[in-house]
Amino acid sequence: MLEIDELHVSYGKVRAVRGVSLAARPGRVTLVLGANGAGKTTTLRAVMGLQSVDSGRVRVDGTDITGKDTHKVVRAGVSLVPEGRRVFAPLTVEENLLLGGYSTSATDRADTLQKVYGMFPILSDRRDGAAGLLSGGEQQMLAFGRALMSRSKYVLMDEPSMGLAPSVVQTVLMTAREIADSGIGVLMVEQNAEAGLQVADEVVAISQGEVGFTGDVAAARADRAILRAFLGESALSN
Amino acid sequence: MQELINAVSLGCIYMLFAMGMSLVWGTLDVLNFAHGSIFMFSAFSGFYLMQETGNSLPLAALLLVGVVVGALMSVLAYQLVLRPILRRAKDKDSAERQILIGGIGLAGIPVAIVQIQTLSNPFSFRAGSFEVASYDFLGARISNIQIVIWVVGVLLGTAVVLWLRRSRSGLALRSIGVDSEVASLMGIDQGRLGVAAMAVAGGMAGLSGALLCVSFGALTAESGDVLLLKAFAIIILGGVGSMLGTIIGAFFLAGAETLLIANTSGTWVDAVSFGLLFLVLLVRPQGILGRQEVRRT
Amino acid sequence: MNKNLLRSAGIVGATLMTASGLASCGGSGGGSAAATGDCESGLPDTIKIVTVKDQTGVAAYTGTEAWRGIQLAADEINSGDMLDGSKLEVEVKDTAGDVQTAASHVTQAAADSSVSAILGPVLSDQALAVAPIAGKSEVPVVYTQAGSEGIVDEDWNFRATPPLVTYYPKIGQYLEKQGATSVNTVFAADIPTLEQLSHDVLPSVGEDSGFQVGEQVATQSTTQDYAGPVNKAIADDPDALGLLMVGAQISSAMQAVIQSGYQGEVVSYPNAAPAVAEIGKAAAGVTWPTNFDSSIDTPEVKAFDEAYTEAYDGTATNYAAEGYDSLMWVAKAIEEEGCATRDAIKTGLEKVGQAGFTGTQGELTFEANGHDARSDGYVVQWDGEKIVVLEQ
Repeated sequence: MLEIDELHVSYGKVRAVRGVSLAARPGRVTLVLGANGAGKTTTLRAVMGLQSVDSGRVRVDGTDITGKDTHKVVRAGVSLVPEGRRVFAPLTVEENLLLGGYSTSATDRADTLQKVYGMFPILSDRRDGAAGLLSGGEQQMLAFGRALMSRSKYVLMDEPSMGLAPSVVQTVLMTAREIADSGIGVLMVEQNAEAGLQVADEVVAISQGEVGFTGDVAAARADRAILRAFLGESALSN
Repeated sequence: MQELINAVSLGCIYMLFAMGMSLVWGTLDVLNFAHGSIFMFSAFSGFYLMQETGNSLPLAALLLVGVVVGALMSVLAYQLVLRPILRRAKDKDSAERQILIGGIGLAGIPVAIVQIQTLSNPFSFRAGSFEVASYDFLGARISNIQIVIWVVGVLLGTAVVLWLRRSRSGLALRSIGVDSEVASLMGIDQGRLGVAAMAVAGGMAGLSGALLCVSFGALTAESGDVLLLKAFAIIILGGVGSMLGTIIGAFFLAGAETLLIANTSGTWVDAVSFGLLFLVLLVRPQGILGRQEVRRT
Repeated sequence: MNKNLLRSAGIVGATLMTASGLASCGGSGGGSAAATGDCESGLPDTIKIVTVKDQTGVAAYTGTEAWRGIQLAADEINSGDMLDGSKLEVEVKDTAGDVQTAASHVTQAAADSSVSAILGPVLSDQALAVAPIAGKSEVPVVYTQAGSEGIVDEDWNFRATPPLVTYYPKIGQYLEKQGATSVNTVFAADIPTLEQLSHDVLPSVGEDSGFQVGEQVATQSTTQDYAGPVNKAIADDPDALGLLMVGAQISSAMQAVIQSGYQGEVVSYPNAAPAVAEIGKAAAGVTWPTNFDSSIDTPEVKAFDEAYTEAYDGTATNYAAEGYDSLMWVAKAIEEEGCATRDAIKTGLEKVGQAGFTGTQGELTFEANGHDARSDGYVVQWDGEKIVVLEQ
């Protein structure tokens, strides 16, 4: 289990995350909902060691990784698919994937690469092309593949559907589901709540740096505050 | 023919010097203005050791001293000054500015030490350990030190390009150059790789310092400054971040300078070669092999 | 710090006094005390001479060597009782390669009425800035090196080093003996003296000595690689090749000549001395005219070289010899006039200059009314291990 316990993070004087606690479990998708500036991305960055933590703990299967350097967090089994995908545009698709497996052994890297190509045939086709020439959806697949290459037990996803054509959103989120089904714990921040709810197991809602709701998808769909905040008035009237 | 030999030798020297600078600029975002004084001080260390040991060091030992001193200085500069600046800077722009100023400040220290030690006189590896000799080669003259420079240049140039292209750590370095934050998300330890890259860069600067001190006969405390400017031009010409571009830029500048000297009054060498650079940049702002923005919109 | 403060206070006072002195005495160089008083009472106990020369920076070597020579001269004068029991007190101010610093040191020394004379900077740009100050404040300044034109045009300014261009023609004798008929050069075009040697001096020497100057390859002070320029200069295989550049560039150019396999004569100028020593055997045969060399066989040079070696190890340099001669010139001037005021020293320098004297630089004669040193010079050659004198 990836546990975030009473996490506090601030940017200068702004306290962006105030006592957030949540968890990701192997094989399950935990969806984090929240408005812009609620502290979702900050939470993920703090877990990865990209942002310093004021207080609180982050544990991976019982091991404390709070405040560790990013590369050590990755080695502990957590990786992040960053917001906006951020593939290494000038590098080839295959180089991007190999970088994802940077901290694994050479044989593991070769094995996982074949698995990722099997999962995303488009990446195999484009393996020698520059990553920046892929479409948005393909880049998201590459970002997923890159995270899988690390053989992490937990994958954090920051807005995987952002900026993608509506027709592609479904595919991307189904891929996230498949990743979880392979036994990986997925912690997903997603603006598109409806689409997110379709693939999620558990839901955490954050507003102004604090957790307002924790529960399973059914409970979330029944929660009036969540419906109002994230699914719009039309959902409420149903 | 003679011009060609001279141009290739000069190009190899420019390349050895500029590649290290280009390497850390393209990957770690460190435009190291202390590179020239590291180059100079490495050669000076060889000179100093020669004096201490009574002029008995062979050429290989001098080159080794150059590599070791250059690598050490470069790593120290990175760990003590440049890396803290990179970490603390608010954003990329201010980091670049501070790195620039920090490098200029650092550069002054070895230069001052050598100026005081030598009273600003030229220093050289005295005769005895290595006799410069030259041979007829296809109707032109080539010297043993030129041959050494060619061999070292070709070997190291190829090695660095292959390292960056083919190896896991080379790939990691290139990824740092593209997006250092995402690189760390790949599990890359930038501290260690940064040290490695700085060591390679400094080692190459030191090596070229020692080679140059033999080939040019002598260096002065300020010798690094002239070369630094040229390397800066070479990197811009080839395109920041491209090793192959740096190599092409080095030979381009060396060729242009050699042709100019052969065909015009030497007074115009700097003006014309830097003017050429300016022209190239007007036509191709990203340099010959510059990293283009690869992005589908 | 305190000393500087006191001195600054002194400057203000002295300047005021100088101004009033000018007004009342019509420019006879007013002021007070030893340097500007009258000569009725003979020589004072101590005579203060300030040296203003680079001790650090680009010309540190030249300046420190000159200062060594000056100290040797002072020791000799004081211990030999040359000035009737009166002692020379010499001190040095570092110009650090900077024109402003040089000017301010000279202004301070001129304002200090206890200073009798100044030994001026070695770099021409500094000397050119200092010369008008010397003229205005009426203090004699004796330079070494500083070979540019215009420095001794101003009254009160003297030069103890014969300018390079004046003794360089001596090389003609050597080239004529070698039967050279064609000479090419590689020169630093941005150093006026060297440009003058290549463009004017060598061709006019050639007219008398039977050679023609052909290809003259210009280089810059930023040039590091001399393979190209040297190859261009030896393309038509001249009988002799002139290498006229500064510092590490001479070494680089010689290295390039050696690598090129060129077999003709190589001539240079006194700055070649350290470069050939660094290169060693491979530079054997490089020849140049000079105003001084420690191996020259005269009693003055022998005595000076011995004293130098005893004090500093190594052999005496031309810069040290020039420094020595410059203070000796001042001492002879004081001896001549029996007086150590600024006026008297100026007059003395002129008289001694007009008569000429033999120093470590050989027989010195003076032009410009006794202000500017000249010598025939010598031709010396590096034989691979040491410098030997060819033409004395």
